[in-house]
Amino acid sequence: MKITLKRLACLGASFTSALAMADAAGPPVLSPAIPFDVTANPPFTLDNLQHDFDVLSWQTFVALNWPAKADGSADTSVKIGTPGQTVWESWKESYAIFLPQGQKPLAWDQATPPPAACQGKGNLPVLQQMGKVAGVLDEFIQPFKTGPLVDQNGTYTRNAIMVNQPMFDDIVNKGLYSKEGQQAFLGKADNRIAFSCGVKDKQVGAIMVKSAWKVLGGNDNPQEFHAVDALVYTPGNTDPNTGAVIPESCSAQKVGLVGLHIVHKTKDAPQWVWSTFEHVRNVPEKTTPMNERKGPYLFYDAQASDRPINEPPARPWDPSKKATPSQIVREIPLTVATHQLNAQWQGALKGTVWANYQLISTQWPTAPADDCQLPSPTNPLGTPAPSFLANATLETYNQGTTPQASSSCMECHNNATTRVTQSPRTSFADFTFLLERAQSTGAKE
Amino acid sequence: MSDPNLQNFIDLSAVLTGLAADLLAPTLDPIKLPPLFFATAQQGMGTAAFSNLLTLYASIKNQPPAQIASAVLGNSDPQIAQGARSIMKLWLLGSWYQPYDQGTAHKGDTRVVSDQAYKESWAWKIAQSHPMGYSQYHFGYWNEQPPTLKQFTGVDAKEGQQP
Ligand code: HEC
Repeated sequence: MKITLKRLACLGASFTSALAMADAAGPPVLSPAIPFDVTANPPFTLDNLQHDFDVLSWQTFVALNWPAKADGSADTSVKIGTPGQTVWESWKESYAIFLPQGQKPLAWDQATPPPAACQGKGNLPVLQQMGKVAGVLDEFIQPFKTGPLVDQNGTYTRNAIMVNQPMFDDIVNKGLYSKEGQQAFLGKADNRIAFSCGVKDKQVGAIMVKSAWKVLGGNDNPQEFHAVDALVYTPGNTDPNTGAVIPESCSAQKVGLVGLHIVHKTKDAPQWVWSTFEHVRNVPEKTTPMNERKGPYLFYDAQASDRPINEPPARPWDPSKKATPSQIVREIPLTVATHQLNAQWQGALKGTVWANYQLISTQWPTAPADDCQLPSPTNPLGTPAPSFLANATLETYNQGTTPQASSSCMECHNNATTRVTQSPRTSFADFTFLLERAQSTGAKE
Repeated sequence: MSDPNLQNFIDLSAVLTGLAADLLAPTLDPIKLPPLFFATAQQGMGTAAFSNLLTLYASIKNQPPAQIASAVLGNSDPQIAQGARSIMKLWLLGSWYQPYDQGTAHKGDTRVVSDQAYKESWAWKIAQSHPMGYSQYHFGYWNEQPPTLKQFTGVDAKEGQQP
């Protein structure tokens, strides 16, 4: 049963359909097809819809983690969990879209050469980002406590950001990959940044994925992770005013997935659907009694429970050296309903590494706009549920429930702009910070 | 809404503020101010006076809104009249104004009920604006005409006023 959320209010809470109820209670189906949108089942209460969006999250998680063929599409001849590159890992990484001097990115199916320091070290994915500390975003990030995350072996975790082809095509076709391109696009009277919300049964809307990885070493067992060989790249820094002075480096390492954001724009969610997953062994919950914090955890030492929690490492941050491991707990415990749903999907995924991952929650708009390309003028955020959501590996240091300070995916991403400084309209970037990465071609404006 | 007292509280609030009940208490409501405001008013007025107010409302709820408002706000029981006034302010300003001495609270005491209560209070929307210190509007919004009063509140602006 498919229904647009906008109509929910009119339907009231008493409407039920036996068919839809049976459908909602069915066991998880592992499918390589990315769902186009949420399947909402009556009665349309907040809790039921949360469940439906959480199911959408799991379905999308399974489809995106399906093994990919050489062309990046799901290999339907094998099951999920078969080793190899997954669908989302074949997508374009941000560094391959926003190139130096605002150059046009290579075609979707053409691989971008890695940074010079990584060349000749194998045809492997490159991991370079560490926490929300990238240069262009410093200014924005200032009010938030932020910093890198260090695993129990003293090594920094790394992030990567990928987008699917509909989103990539939008960026390229509209010239949004350079600062001047953005200026030209927004210079036209009716143009606004609005990514695709998909066409039902034909094309999925824009999807962006942010992943967090730890280098596997020490006591880590690679079998427990979605593990890949990657080139871990650290750009050099020669200016002591901007951080530790470190040489550029790149080395091949085995890394394991510890966190995954999946953000999907759909017809029913013009503010996008914000799903976030973690490795089940990442951290204890704040409410877990001390004597039950057995672990071993990837980002918490049960033997050192007197250490301050959720504090960023001391500066200067130097990923080339061993650092004191982060001591992290989850501020907002998973709900009972999420635990139950996770158990169902983990059961269906039993025997694969994916059973070692859990959904934290899904943030979705309870009051979406009528037109998925045009946010409501009075409520552009669409009243997110839940009000707060954080991934312990990616929003580590601003978890919690304080408006303005604690992590709400939609609230924070609602601030994202383009790099355009002179626009007759707002330069809202449709909830993605990616466009702030665009560089200048150097052409006169 | 399963609790009839809570529903009466919301419906009474709608009459007092002129805002539709489903705007004050949306069907899908992750923020959940109505139960918080209910508890705040009950505690502030005292259980007995609060219950008297809701009982009065329940007995006249089919009357036109203006009549209900004057029966409540002009009530001969000062706790009903002043309590109702504080409930009105609660929705509009997100703060509880203690209407009379009650328990340890003194007439005139004021407190912001919660961060969400401040952020979501209706005075900002009626002013076609946003709370001080918080805005969900996009960079550069100050350069554009604000949405109309109707878009914000469902209520038409009076003739001669800014739309
Ligand atoms: C405090 C602000 C903030 C919060 C809260 C936040 N993010 Fe982000 N997010 C950022 C910034 C800044 C970037 C870009 C820089 C980076 O990746 O470090 C980003 C990047 C991303 C990206 C990559 C695409 C892009 O826009 O650059 C995804 C996907 C993402 N976040 C998902 C989420 C999800 C899901 C949540 C909630 C669980 C969330 N974010 C919470 C600030 C935030």
